Amino acid sequence: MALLHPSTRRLREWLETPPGAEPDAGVEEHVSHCERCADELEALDAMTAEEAVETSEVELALQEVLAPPTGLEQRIEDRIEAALLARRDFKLLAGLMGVSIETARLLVEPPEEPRS
Amino acid sequence: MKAVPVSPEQVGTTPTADLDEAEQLRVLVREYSSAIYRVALSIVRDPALAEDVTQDTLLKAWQALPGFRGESSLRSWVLRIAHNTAISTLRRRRDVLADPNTLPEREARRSVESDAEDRAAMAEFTRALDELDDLSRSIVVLRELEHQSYEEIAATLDLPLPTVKTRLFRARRKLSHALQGWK
Ligand SMILES: [Zn+2]
Repeated sequence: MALLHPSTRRLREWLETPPGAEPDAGVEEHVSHCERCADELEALDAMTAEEAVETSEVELALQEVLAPPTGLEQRIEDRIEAALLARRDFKLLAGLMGVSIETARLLVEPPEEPRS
Repeated sequence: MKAVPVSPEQVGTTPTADLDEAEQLRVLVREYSSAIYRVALSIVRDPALAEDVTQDTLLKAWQALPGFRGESSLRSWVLRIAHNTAISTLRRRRDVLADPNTLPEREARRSVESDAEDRAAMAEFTRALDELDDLSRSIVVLRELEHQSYEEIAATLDLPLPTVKTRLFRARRKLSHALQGWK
């Protein structure tokens, strides 16, 4: 870590590096480890937040672009069931399917035909 | 067959402690699928891959549940597994696809059906999100969507506190900037 903390001006410039521009590497490296500068950046961020778009709008946009698809949970449950089936985890499978362990086993591995 | 020992100390820290194995797994799926998916998608940027990561994470979390010590919230713990699983999935994917240009494009945002202006703004926002590094994306998601404190994020991702704060502030700037025209 560099001994000297970057000036407030440099911190602010780093914070507001425009998209596509290269951030000041020295500042970048320093602030990742320096609590004092992290606190100063926090203060700068709070002070200038009103100039920028409100945080809640970032939240809304993130919700939009990262929205889970419909039916996700059911699909995941089905996929896990299939994975357990492949692993022959009958005990858990039985619990998931709401049947007895023996029933789960029979569903997966039907008994061999009895020889006559 | 693995058993899930449920010690008295775990009760109260683990909402799933009293449940049988199948029910534990079902609770994990119900409670955390969406949050895991969001963290996963923010990193892998591909919906199908994000579903794979969600499934892997839930199975891993369920299998590791007996070892969960309650040092963090169960949610943080699960999301940490999600982050790590997404990162390793992405690495494997990048190894397979040597050419970075063949990385899967994220599908067009299905939920944005309003008007063209909104769509353009969201495309801009998505681009800004894509330009962030993987770690910054996770930090932003944990902060903005999971509402974790800086300390919780540091614990979830095993990062120094200054790293969490500084990456977050800058990432949020970039994302805000991308939204400037969307009003
Ligand atoms: Zn400093």
